[in-house]
Amino acid sequence: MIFLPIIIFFFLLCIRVPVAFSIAIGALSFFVSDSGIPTYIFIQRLISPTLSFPLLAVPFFIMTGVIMNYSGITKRIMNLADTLVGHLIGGFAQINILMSTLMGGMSASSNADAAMQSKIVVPEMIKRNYGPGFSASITACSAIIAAIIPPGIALVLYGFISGTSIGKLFLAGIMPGIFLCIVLMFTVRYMAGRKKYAPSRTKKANLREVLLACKEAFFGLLIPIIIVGGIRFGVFTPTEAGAIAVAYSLLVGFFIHKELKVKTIPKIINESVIATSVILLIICAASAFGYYLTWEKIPMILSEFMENISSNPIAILLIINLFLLILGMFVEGTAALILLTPILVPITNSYGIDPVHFGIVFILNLTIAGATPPVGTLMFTTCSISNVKIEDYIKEGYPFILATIFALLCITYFPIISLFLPNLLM
Amino acid sequence: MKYIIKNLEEIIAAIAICIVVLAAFYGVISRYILNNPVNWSNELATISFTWVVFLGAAAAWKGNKHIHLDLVYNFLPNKLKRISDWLKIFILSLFCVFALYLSIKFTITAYNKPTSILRIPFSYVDLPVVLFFMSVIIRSLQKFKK
Repeated sequence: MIFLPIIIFFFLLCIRVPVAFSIAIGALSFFVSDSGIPTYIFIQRLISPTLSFPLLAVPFFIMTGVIMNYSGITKRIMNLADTLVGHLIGGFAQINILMSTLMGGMSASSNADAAMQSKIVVPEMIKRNYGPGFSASITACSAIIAAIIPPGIALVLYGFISGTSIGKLFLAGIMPGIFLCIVLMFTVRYMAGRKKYAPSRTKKANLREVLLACKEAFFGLLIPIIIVGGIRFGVFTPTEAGAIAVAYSLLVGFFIHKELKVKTIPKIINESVIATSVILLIICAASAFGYYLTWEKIPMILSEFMENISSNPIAILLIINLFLLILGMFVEGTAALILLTPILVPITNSYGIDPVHFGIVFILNLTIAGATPPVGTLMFTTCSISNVKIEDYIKEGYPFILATIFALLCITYFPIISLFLPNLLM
Repeated sequence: MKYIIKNLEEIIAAIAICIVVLAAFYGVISRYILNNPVNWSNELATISFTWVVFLGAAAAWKGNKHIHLDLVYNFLPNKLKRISDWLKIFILSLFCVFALYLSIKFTITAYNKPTSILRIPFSYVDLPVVLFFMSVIIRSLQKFKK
């Protein structure tokens, strides 16, 4: 009986009730069954996440990402990526990866990154005879990088729910992001070499061209430095950093690049509002659900179960890796992140696993699962926007998915990759 | 006028998000540039944020933008699909009506509780939830009529 809300949640998911409503109804079923808890707490828990200052970072980072696409920052970053890696074998795919890494420092969600690149980069790639499946899958897999390069919505959510320092998480995401970028670039080099995909430019850009592109993209590249630097030196909190980033990108769009129009402001606001509230409603519902989980001590039951399986942290991490990869193939990433953080963090803590390190592994794991069939938000986003068949995606994309899983395992078992920067700087 | 009624949720949420950004931005400015930190900016920002989230979520409901899962549903035979559709509508309406009732009750009792800094009744914080469930019910009825 104590698992009834969980059963209701999964059942409603299956009959196409929206995720947020499925979670909320599952939670409400707990409050109305005679648990002795007043039902008004349900409404209170629903509202409470929206009253927390740390979570305000979510709309700010979403907004910054939207503004950038309209203010010409994206275009300049693409140009910079082209001068840096365009001459390599499979140039367009290399640009795609590097762009995700650079843009990861400004946009906060891999889904937004995948959507943007499917619109801008994939059509270019297909025009130059790159395979459609190849183009879509490298877009989805490279978008994973954006989730862990700061700022990241997932990092903010994980930090907020588990009580881990968001500043530390931001620093911890940088090196794994770069590592994943390098792994993917090598994979592309090998794959594109076999398929003889052309570079995007005939010869290597000279130093002057690179510097010029750097100068053009300079104001955009400053955003991650302001955010991470500002938080690290205690100038502002992550949320305030978000507000500054919004104001800054508006300034750049209006006065420096002069590409932002007053007319597009309502569109920017509307896009940001919808994207924000779809995520936040899930968080609100999960907050009510979380009350049930703690009341019934579900995390404790699970962690006792885990302890019976193994007492070895490496084995536990491997089990969690597999569990998340499989679960993430079916459940939407943000929802899984919000529901599982309060369950998994106490378990990994009891094994002595650093919560900062685990956060990066956890988020990377779920995001990778989002790029894998059969259900993956990243996969759906790229395939539907760029009109690529899912079969093609799977056929041509599996080497990239394997490469990201390889990177995940390295990052999981060598905590130094994620913990080096936060230990050095904080 | 028709435009306003049709997009009421979006308009309120848009105004609210502007307040959120301005309030949070003013918080930083007041601390570093004006050297006169204000304490109300955070509270104003978070209260407006509640309005953004619930009115925005209502707008997303209207535009069918909430995330749902198709995987299992697509495997169902047609007859079961129809049954599951009706079941879904039944459960959702039951939930929304009950939650609306709960949220109205909650909002009314919160009237005597002031917020910690701005000293406004907590009802203003809880009201967007009432509006959210109301909007979901009304907009669904409108769609249904069509």
